[in-house]
Amino acid sequence: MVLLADPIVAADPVVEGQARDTLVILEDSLGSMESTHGAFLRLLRERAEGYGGRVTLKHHESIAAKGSGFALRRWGRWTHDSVVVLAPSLTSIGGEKASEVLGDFVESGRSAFLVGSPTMSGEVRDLAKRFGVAFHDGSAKALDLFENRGGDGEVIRATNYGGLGDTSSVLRAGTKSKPLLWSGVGAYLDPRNPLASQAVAGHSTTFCPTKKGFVSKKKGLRKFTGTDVSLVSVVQARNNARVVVTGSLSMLSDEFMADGETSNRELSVDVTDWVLGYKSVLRHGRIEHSLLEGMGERGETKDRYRIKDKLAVSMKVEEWSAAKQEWLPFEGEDLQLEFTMLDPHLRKTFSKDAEGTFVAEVVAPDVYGVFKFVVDYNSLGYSYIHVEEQVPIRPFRHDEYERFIAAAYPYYASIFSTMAAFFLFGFSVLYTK
Amino acid sequence: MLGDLKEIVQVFSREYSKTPKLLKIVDCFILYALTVAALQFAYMNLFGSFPYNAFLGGFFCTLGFAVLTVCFRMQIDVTQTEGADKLGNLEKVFADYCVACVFLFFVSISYVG
Repeated sequence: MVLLADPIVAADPVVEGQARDTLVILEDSLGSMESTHGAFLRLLRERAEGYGGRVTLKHHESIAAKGSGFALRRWGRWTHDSVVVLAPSLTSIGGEKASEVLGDFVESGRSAFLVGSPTMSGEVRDLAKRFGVAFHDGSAKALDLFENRGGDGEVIRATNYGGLGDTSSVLRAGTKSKPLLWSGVGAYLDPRNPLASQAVAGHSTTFCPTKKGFVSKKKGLRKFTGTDVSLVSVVQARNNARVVVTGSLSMLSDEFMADGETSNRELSVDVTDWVLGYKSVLRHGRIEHSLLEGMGERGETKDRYRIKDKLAVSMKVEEWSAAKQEWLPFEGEDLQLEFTMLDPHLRKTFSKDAEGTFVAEVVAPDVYGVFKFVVDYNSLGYSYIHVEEQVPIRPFRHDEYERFIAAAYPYYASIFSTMAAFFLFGFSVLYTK
Repeated sequence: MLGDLKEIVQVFSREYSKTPKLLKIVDCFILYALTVAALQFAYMNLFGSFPYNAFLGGFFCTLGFAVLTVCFRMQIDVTQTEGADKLGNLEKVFADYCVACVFLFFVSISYVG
């Protein structure tokens, strides 16, 4: 009944999980993590409390074994909605291999924040690889001998936020205006993978060295040099599950966050908000259509329209506002409508009406067949939207064509004059002697 | 050249004046139908082929009428057809012609819409 009352369809577990239950897996005991990463843990707790979620903190060793009494999945159900892995040496959860259980976790539409470090385990590397993020082999830290803090090149002052383009769906503009202190293992994203992108990338002077501190000539590092080095990667799977991968645990440390000149704090907020579904989450309604001009009543929604009918199409798209705890009309400007039969016969950018509903006026093409309205919105950082609504288009019926056209009067006249001529002819032929 | 043409016309009019009066009347109607067809074609070329079905209806109605009338003329032409001068044959041929014409008009009217 709830579904009937509210025509808007919740698209994915991210939306349903607004009151989400987040598991945070810690590298060390809670006490020592509090002293090194206290600010980040506080941030997680505060956001969860403010937005109606829950945070569970666990030391990775205490949940690793099967007999530990902890399981991420129990009887085929997931016990948490999202996982923040602050434990680079994580190998197993509840007796299952971490890469498998967390891979399945994301496949089910849930989100994960994965943090690596120079000492990370093979499981964490495998897991990152499953998301399309390949960490650099070996335990050497990525270096940048030009843009760094401290001079040895290990703490990179990253300012390359270009990987996400202009969008503020993940990182706000304020975050991007400051440098990020980052120290850890660089990663590489396969350019063929359209789902992963670099939130923060290296400079052209960044590289991932082999153990000796420089790039060996024998083993080229083409992938792990310059702007191809991904420092913070974001992945949004096709099921709208979100994943953030970074090779730097120290990025989230109190030491780096304390510096007001850097973006570490803002970036942590942005990235966790995004991955936990507090921002850039969209939901949509059905595609509504009605007749504007043509065969039938104006404003009528029909199960089929005639060619060249003028139609009004509208769709509701809403964005979750965690701050207001309600759905607000989506502000995007680039939503497009397609009218497709095998190929899009027309494509139009939606405009917005006073209530923020996306509306478009289209004229049905001069082709009949089974068409569908398609809205396919893949905007970086936002939930994907793909909706289809089937609308057949029929041709004119035999009695719907225009009649008594002024331009055709000479033709009508010719027929009637020929008929008259026929009568005259009859008389003259039969009565001529 | 011009003299030849003049001669052709003269010969034609001299020979044509020998044709019976009935056939001359029939020829008038054929000419009329062909003229109307030509006018419609010119009109279509000038003003575009928008109600194309109407053009086809009107054009082929007049052409068809001309063709049927030519057939009628062939059957009643004494000089060309044997037995055409038999009594009552004119009426019989005209009946056939009537049926064909009525059918033609019916189709044309349906087609112009």
